[in-house]
Amino acid sequence: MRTFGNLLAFSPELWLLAGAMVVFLLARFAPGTTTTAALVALVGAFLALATQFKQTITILDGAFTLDGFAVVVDVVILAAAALTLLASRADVLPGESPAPAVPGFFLLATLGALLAASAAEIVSVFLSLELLAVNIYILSALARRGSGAISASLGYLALGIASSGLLLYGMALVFGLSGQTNLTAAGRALASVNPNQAAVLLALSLLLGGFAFRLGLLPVRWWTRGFEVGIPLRVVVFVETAGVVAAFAVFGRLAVATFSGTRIAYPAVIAVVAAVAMTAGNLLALTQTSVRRMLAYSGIAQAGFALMAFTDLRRVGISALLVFLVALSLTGLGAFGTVVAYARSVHSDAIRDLAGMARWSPGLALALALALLSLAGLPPVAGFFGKLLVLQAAVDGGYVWLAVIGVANIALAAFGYLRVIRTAFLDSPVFEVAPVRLDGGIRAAVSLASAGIVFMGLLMGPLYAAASYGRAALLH
Amino acid sequence: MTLLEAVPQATSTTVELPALLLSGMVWVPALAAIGLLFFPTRTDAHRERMRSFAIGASALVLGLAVLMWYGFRDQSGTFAYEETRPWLVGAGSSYHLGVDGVSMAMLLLSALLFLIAVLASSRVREQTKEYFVLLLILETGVNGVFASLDYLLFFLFWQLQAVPMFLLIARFGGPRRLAAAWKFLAIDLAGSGLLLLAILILYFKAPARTFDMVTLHDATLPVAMATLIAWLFFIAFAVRLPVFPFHTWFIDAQAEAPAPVAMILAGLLVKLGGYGIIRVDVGEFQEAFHKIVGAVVVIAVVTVLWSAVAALAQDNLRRLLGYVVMSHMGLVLLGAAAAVPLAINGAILTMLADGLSAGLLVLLAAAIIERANTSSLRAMGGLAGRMNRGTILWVLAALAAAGFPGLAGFVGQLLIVLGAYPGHRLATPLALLGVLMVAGVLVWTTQRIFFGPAAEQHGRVRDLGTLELANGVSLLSLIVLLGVLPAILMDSVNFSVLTMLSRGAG
Repeated sequence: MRTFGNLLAFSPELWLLAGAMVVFLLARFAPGTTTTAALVALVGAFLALATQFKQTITILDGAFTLDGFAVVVDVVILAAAALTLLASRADVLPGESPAPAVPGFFLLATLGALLAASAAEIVSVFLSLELLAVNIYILSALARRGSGAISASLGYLALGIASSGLLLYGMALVFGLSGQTNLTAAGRALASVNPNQAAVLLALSLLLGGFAFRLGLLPVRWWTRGFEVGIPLRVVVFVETAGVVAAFAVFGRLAVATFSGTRIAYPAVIAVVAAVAMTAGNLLALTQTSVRRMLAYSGIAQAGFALMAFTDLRRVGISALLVFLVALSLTGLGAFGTVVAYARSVHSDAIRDLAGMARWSPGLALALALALLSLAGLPPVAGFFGKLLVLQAAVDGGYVWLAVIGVANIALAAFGYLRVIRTAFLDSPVFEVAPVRLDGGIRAAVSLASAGIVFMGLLMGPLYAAASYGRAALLH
Repeated sequence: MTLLEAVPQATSTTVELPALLLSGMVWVPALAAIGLLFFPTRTDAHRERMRSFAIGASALVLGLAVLMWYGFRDQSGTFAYEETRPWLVGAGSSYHLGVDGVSMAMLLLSALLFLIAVLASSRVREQTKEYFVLLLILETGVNGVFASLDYLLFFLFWQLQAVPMFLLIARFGGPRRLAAAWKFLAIDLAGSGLLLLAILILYFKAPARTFDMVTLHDATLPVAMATLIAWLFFIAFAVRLPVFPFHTWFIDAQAEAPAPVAMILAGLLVKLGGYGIIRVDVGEFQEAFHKIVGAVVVIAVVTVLWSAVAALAQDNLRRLLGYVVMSHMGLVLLGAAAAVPLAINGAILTMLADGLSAGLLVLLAAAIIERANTSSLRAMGGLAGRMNRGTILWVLAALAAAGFPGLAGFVGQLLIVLGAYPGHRLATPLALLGVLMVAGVLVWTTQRIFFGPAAEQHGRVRDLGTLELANGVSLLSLIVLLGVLPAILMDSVNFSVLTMLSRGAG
């Protein structure tokens, strides 16, 4: 096996790496151009992905596998990253002077996400996830928005390290039980040598615990504190879209390659986690008075919902997961983009202060309503299709009770979100707000996300075909 | 191979141009709504231009409907203009559209009523763009339900109606619009939830994992399961119909919605409930529906009688019209429950006739209320001397709704009664009693509005304007046409009803 022979096939990743280098140089000599340069790098990576890919390519002795699954995930991650960067171009508080190198770290984080999607070895999985995480720590600390940002960043760092610890324990167990670092080989070994089943279950639990933080399953939303001085929009949206997509891609590959052949009842473990996360997330979201916190907790419910797809990995689960993640990215961008932009302009993120939003900024209110409907999974917007396919996967996997809990959660969530929509559209405003002036970048990004939310139903044909392609590649 | 080639292309099905007529009917309004978003809104001229654009779009849809109907009359198969494209392949759902005689007739009614609704919306001065966009999206939802041959698609189009209707009532309605809009939304979402539940149970229990109506028709289900599904479908549709005791949303919405929207509500949205019962319960779950028919007949009779009594006691003109429509829909339900060709033909004809006459009555009622400055019947009277054209139109429309021979309502009601009587010898006379009471109420109402001593506060009342008259006359001429020559529509309806009933159990 040639070690570096096909390295050029990884040109999307190389584009991002080169782009990050250029951005760091530009930050010294032409600080105003860094965001544009980063966007160019992202577009370049996208084009490289669309034209250079041929078949399944393995490099570095099997550390990374660029297969159809990775390509589909990469497309989602790159699109989410580009839209996030576009939306956050003008996310600058009065008196704030953002570090010009920020887009460089953003590119490196995206690079980590892309690598994670194609990582096929325990070591490369860990390294790419850490590359993603470290750059997010840096991005949130670089916000220079006072002590709120620093403490939020440190809190995130501490949790990230703890979860990495769990991840390493789990990986060490997998390696110890199988003697392999390659995910597929480890899975084959675990399935054939009949190791201690309790140990395999423990390894899965540790890995799930380690991933819980990255999948968005934990009620630790470090960025919800101090919304005016806290974490910038780009970090919030990036973590909630591209970060979650990358984590689910890795976890999906891990589950398929390593655990789906073993005799442990891994779908049952995941089903229980999914049911708890969905219900707890939605209940927590219902009790919130801040719309940002409500979105944060509903993120837990979304992650739980996505986990439902893992109950039927061998058949339609992966396709359902991919479609769900596309819907989730679009929705996350629309929801967080509108809420953060509006909260900045009214200096509050309380749900009751959304009253009159439809009057002061009708476009923003419409985008928020669409995103919330999609989050709830109400037809006919994007979220419905993702949830429908995931529910189908759960039923096909034999987990009818989980599907029933899922449906109950849709109703529960719909109640909470309709409450917010009612406030934004029908309650009489408490105070007058000047129409929110949005920068062209965020307007374009939110409009694109909204259009995607509305029209995803129409595009389900090609989208599902792409998802099935990714699934087929992952399952061989 | 590039990325795009790597993605397996959906197998291309050859879709002939005539098939696209149906997609056109469904999507032209939505495309027009998107186009409308880019219109400027500053001046009256801008608003007028938007209205012209909306008129053009809905006229185009009516043109497509007429064209389809023209090509449709010599059909032979079950469905015409079928269009199948791969859509949600993994979930077993495809973009499957098609019409038979029943849905073709309903599509014609829908295209006509939406055009008249847009024409009648000349008074919308504020948020004109939002109004027309919502109305056009609503048309896509309504036409989509009539055209869908895939349960998931059917449900999506059904669901697509809720939010536009809610916003149309909540933002453009009368003084108590918010309460009426929320009531509509709550009940409609509950109904949609039951509809989705029914569809999902069917999907997961059927041997073939598909949402396709035609494929699922041949699926055999356990009797208890089929009965449960038939019940769920029935309740979901009956809420829309509306039946007693779920009718208050309809009466409130009827009273509060702006006149053109109230016309769509009474003329089309409630007809979708009847269409659903005939298409799904009668057409697809015949045997299971037969098991629950006793309860359905009781509900139908109670609905007819309750609405007749309520209409008798009603003082608000628009609420009264709501009860009139409700009683006719109760009769439609009786016809559907009878499940014999004669009665189902009658039910469909009654829906068409009631769509036309109720639409006309609602528009006229709004015009009268605007001029008399009150919606209370007690405060009206003697308007005949001041509104000659209005009086003539109203009298004819009321006669049509009352089932006067020679007008469309008569034939439909007669067919239902004739068809249902052999099977339901107690229920049919009771329902007939209710219908006669409603006819009496309509005559009495006419007398109270137009004749007798003129109320003092009326002063100078304008007669109907040219546009109002033109709308009214076009609806009226169709009412007469359908009353004299029901065969122009009913031949193909009858053909499809016979096909539907003879295809046997689902």
